[in-house]
Amino acid sequence: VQDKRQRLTDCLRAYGSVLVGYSGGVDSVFLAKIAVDLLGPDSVLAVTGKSDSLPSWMEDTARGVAERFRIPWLEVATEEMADPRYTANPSNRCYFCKTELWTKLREVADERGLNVVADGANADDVGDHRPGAVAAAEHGVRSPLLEAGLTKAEIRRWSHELGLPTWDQPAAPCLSSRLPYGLEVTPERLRQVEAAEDALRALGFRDFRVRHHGDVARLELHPSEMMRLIGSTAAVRDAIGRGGFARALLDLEGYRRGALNEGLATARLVQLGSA
Amino acid sequence: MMPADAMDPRLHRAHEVLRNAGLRGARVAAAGHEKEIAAISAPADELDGLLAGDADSVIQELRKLGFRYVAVDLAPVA
Repeated sequence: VQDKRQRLTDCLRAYGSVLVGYSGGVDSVFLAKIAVDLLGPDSVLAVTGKSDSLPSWMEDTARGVAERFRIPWLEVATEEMADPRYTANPSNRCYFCKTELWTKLREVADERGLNVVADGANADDVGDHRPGAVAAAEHGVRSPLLEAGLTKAEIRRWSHELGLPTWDQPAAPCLSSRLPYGLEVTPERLRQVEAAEDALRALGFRDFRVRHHGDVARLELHPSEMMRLIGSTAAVRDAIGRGGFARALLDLEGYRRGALNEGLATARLVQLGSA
Repeated sequence: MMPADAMDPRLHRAHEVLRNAGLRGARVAAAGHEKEIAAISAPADELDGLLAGDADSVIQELRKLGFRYVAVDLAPVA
């Protein structure tokens, strides 16, 4: 692990200055904080791409952590919802979103004279279905955490040492990931998912997904939270009803990362590392 | 007009799966925009049993019938 930490330090020093694609998630918050500590605030800018698919609580985390840890921060509106290739929700949807994101962020980096654009991809992301990583590669985006070989667990541990509140934050991909491929992404559907998930979070749930299946919602709950459900099924049902769903279903297999990729044939999976 | 469910060949077998698992009051329907979810509705006592775990064989059997997801309705049937 010491070697990996050294490798990350070497990586960032070699950049000199960096723009970090900053979602408010565990990895990008960690990367931005390390970069500021190492290179100083004049050489780092954390940029959040803002659109309907970014949950409000993530945006709040991004802003709050940036203020508290004096990370220079900027929010840039992204227009992926205006791209019909994105809203049609194909299995490579993320490619179109990330193409938009990295195009915008590259422009900002050029304007500000920042040498490198970097994301928070880490060693555990290799092997997952990640069409967004193709867009990152096409835009010359570097992944220093991945290059250093840091795993999610190591990033969480180091984040804890640094006092970052995100150290134990559940993985939080964008709201569009709650819609099965082929179901059109609309602002209204994203608002439904967010309303239901906010209501569940208010009940104390932390690690779950509300999947949008048209008129029904399918809740994937992490096995560790099943106990919280027992005896409060009515409250959970009401919370999901806040999203305007006619029916609240609970998936019996619980929350599984990338569950909506399970129906994809292997040939359609795009993996980081193979891309 | 016949309800769409009556024409879904998976559902007859799906009900057998529930009966064989001792879920006598439960029903199952196909839900979701692609009818990819086996949606089980159950009386309160059977719902509690499903939530308490031990649904592995039911899940596996229903998935074998072609459902991508197996889920229970959080509203118990009366």
